Amino acid sequence: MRGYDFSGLTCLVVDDSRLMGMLLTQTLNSIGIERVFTCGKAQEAIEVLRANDVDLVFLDWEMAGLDGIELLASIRKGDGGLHCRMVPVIMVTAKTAEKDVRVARDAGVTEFLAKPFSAESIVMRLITVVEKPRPFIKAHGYFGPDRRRGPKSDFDGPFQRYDDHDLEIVEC
Amino acid sequence: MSEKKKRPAVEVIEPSTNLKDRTTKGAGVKKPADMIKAAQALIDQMAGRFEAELDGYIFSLSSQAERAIEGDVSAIEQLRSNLHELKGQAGTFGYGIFSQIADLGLRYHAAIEEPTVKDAEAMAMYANALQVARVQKLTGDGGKNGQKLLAELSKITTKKER
Repeated sequence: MRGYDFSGLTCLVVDDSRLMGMLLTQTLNSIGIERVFTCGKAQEAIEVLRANDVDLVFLDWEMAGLDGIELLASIRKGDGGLHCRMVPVIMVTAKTAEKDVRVARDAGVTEFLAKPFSAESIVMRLITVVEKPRPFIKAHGYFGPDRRRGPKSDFDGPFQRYDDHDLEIVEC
Repeated sequence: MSEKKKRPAVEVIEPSTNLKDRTTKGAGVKKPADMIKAAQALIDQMAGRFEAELDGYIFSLSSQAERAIEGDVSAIEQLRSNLHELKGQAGTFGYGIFSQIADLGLRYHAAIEEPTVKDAEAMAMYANALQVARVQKLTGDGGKNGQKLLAELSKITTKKER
């Protein structure tokens, strides 16, 4: 398996637990990402995003004040600057029920990292985000990564893939 | 009339290649297996800090459980919040049994419609189980004692979820 040098990346970790924020930050450092910002509050995160060219965000869901979903919506709306509206966001959370995953997906999350997590799951999520960037969808009521995954052979609805050629796509 | 099916207005934007462009790949750089090893070593190294915080969590959970039984409804939400934190952290640092107990408590909480004293008493059982696990110094999956504890709590959770 080939190797990766992630030293050119800039990450932002947002977690109101000092221990988990520190753990994620130092874990990213240990795999070669030297520039990692750590914030305990959503407002601080918005300021970091505005002032820096952040490549990837690790975001906790349950935080005091503005929570992770609200912060994510705020990022997608452009509150952190237009330059980072499409920044990949990995939601790091112990909320793993199907309905929670759907809420995060509909808010524009890129990937999900379930807590408790392992070293392997962090590294593999990072590689997935680097290797498989997802197109963004701008539609009425949604701005975020394409929520559709691979084609399903048993799916008989009309809108399986955005490049279905029998569909008329109306530009916004 | 067009044969084409209409769909809501949508624009597809190609993803940025920033991450790819800023990542160097090849044979001479760190392999994922080495990264995992380095990250795991760090997690293991930080487990002591979590252990130091664990007693604080358990103390808070116990006092919240007591308050919930006495009729303080807000204590149930505080219990849930602490169980949520514990579920996320404990397993990461090698205390999987604590994560599993917390998860059962969270599932019980998710099934509560209007909290009653019975619910408060049930939530207190998860807090007590965490205390027992701590007193018995359980780690990992908790071994035989831990599994027995989980089996008992699973019954309570499953009954509530029905």
